[in-house]
Amino acid sequence: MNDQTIEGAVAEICAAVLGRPVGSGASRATEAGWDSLKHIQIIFAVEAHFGVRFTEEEIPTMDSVARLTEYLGQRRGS
Amino acid sequence: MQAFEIALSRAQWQPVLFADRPTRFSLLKLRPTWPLAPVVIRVHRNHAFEHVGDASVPWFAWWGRAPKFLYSDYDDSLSFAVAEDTSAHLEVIWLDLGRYHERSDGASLHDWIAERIAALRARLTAPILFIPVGAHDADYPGLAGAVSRTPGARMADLRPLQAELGADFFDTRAALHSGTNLSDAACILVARELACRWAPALLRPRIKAVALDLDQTLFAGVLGEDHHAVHLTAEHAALQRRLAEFRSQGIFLALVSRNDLADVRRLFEHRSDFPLQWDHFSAAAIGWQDKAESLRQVARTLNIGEDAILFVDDNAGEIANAAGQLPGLATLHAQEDASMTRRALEYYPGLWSWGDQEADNLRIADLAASQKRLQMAAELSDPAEYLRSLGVELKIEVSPARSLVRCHQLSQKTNQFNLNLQRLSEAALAEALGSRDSRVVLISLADRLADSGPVGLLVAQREGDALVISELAISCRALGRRLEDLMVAEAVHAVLAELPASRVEFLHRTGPRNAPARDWLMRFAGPLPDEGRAPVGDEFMKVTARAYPVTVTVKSDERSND
Repeated sequence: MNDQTIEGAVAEICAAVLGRPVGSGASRATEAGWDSLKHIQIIFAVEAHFGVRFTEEEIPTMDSVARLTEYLGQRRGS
Repeated sequence: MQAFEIALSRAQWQPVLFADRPTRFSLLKLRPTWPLAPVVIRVHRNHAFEHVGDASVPWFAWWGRAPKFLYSDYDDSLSFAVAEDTSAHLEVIWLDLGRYHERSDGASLHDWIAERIAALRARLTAPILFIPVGAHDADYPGLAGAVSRTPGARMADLRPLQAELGADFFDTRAALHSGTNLSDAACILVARELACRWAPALLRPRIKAVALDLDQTLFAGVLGEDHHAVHLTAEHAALQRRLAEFRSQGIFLALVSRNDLADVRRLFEHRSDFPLQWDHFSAAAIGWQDKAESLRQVARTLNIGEDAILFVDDNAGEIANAAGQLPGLATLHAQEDASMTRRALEYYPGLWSWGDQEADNLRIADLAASQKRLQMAAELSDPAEYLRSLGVELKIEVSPARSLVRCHQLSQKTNQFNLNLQRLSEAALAEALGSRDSRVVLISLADRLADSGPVGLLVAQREGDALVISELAISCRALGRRLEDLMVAEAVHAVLAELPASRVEFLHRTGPRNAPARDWLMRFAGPLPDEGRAPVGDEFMKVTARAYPVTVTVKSDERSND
């Protein structure tokens, strides 16, 4: 899975949780409705989809499609 | 969107909805294309419910509902700050009991919960669903007792879900961010229970029959003329065992198959390894006719509406065709992997019950008895002789407080002999039971062929010098024994003994299927408008048990407020 595929899947997950289309530049700062409850649902959905598990400290920092994509890309490479 | 298109679209969702472990992403990608009826669910809570509510939406949609959740603030005190102008179909109390364990012992916590649920009931009549999270095993009996004190309140049991997920039921790592200790997997399983079991069992009549195709549905392979050509996989065997359990829980099973009857009979005779045997099926429509016609035939045999049937078939075309012809028919697409079909049945909205299906259990035995009754009626031209031979016992219970659930079922489920179609809630019935000027009557019937159990409900109020019958419902299982006049008259006489009145009036309303009840009333009240209040005269008041060879007992001893 390359970065582009990961990014597409992450954006799709965010869109499913938020209930509207989401681009690759989406983040908590730019997306109305990406509140703390939706954020944790995105985190849970990403975990289930990619088979990863974020630490308690990592959860709040995964706050954009780009950040999630970067993290998942690094995990793929590790 | 046509009914057949909806049936096909719903079938496409099954692999996601009824996967062993559905995921949030796969669920939230589903977007219904069919019309949905709104259902308003108010959640009183002390921890986050949104993760459950959001995940439940696709399952609700599959049932044909669009849930709208109204959330309270997080409130450990359960003050029920409810806007008086917003009504809900369902009130959910979503409570993390872990927040109380250090502050109170079990008994006082249970008493407090009972008091809070009663306080909510005093303000609202909608069903109440109490979902305790973090309850200890030892808490459950006390909690169940506390909840059962309030009419129309039920308690969800999360222990099976906790056992299924083990340590993954909780996720304290995410609690700080999610607002609940439950894991995402637990929230998803709770969502499935809510939308597929708990809410339907509180908000819709139970499905009465599962009508099953044979080939590729109950077994792998095609019967044709060779019973060796069919293969009972382990998954199909498990499906058949589950269907047999449904039958033991009061759900009729029926066969709807394009085959020759002789071949099907021979199959069941030779396949003793099948958990389902021929006698498990209360109706069979086997032949080469259209399956919609077969389903109509099954409905007639079982004396139920077609909208009380769940039709299971591996052929999507058959499902679409039947759904297109029979409004309200529930459908399920049988999968090649029968474990998927079994799981879909487990969670089919309207099949699960709260364990109060005593009347459903009686229904299956009663159907077999009804065939014999018809035979006897044909053989005996004298109605009195017919009733004498049956040995009928009629029981009239005034104020049957311990049978509130059955009274509620009769009001909700009865369609044909239901005069005013009030569809009373348990809370409304409890209020009538507690009112000085109202009476609730439960009518039970038994004969030497079967105990039909409680089959009739009458609710009456005294208004001035009139006794007004606001609800009269008699199960179709009790009809056809020529006893409707006596059942209603005895119930009315029993109420008049406690609430004397100079005249009796029946409230009535035209519904889609209640012509039998209206025809009955017209015999005593003359022509009826579409709805209104109809007085009955001497002819009705003169109906007494003396004219019937029937044993009648009247009981009135459960009123708690007098």
